[in-house]
Amino acid sequence: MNSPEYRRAMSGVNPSAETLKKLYGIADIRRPRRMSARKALTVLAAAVSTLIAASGAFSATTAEDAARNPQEYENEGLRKIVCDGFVIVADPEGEAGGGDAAFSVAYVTVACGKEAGEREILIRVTDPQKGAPKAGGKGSVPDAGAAREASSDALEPNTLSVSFIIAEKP
Amino acid sequence: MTKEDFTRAVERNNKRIYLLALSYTRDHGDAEDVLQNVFLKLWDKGGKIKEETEIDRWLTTVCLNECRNLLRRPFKKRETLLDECAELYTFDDPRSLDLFRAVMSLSEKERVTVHLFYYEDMPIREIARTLKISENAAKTRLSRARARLKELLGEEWINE
Repeated sequence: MNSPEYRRAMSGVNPSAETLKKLYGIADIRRPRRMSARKALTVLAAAVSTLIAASGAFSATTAEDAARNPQEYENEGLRKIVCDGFVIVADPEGEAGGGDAAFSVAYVTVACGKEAGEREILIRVTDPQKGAPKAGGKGSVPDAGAAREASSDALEPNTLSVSFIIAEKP
Repeated sequence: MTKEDFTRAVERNNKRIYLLALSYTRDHGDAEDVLQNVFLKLWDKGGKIKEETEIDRWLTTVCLNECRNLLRRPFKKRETLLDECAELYTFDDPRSLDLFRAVMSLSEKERVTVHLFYYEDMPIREIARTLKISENAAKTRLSRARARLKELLGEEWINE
């Protein structure tokens, strides 16, 4: 192997277009800052739990749901959120079905800003794990730590890595 | 840092930083996370750096620090399997896939050293400075990596 050979091999290995878009978008966000993963998971889990309670199922929830109730998502002065990742979705009261408390894992994409419109927040939720692990009685959720613990057998640990950029309210 | 300077830095470095992060973490998602964090830090704190070469060097150092921090996190319990890592990408030439898999099968320290040497064309002295190790340690890592690659790739391997 030499350098050109190695570079040729790596030519097909690239970051995703979505991530590149986020990178170029960093300069458009006012005072970007990183939120701790734990806090982000908690915020996202809260938002997703609300959505799920509203929709009544662990299934796809679309922008309309979020747009109807935007105040739920404007947590702590945060306005623009761009993120995607797996979050713990908790349903301690069993509202989603059967009355049993449940924890699940959802892949969430949250986008807001120029494309989605200033006040519109787009949240897409998909449930990659049918028959998600149940862990009743873990207290009131969202508790990302407890839920992570409860779901650790079913989770790929690296799916907990959440990528996001937070901007303070302009 | 102006938006134009930032955009140029992204254009110039996005693939390089992604590959460096990938060779360290061996996970596409983690590498993309690191990539975002690195450029977020550049936008946030890189205002004082003017020279392009200095920016590039700074990005490399921040990337390696981010990778180290990421892998230290308690919930990072398991390494991504080699097959999972390789199946995400498309290689035109099967030899490229073999090479990618062989490099990715090396230990974390070895694959980063190989990447810096062969992709970034960094001299040993620079690798040692970047990784904060002695030149001898860098040479040893590279030599072990080459031996292992030779074992894995057999005749296709040319020691250069």
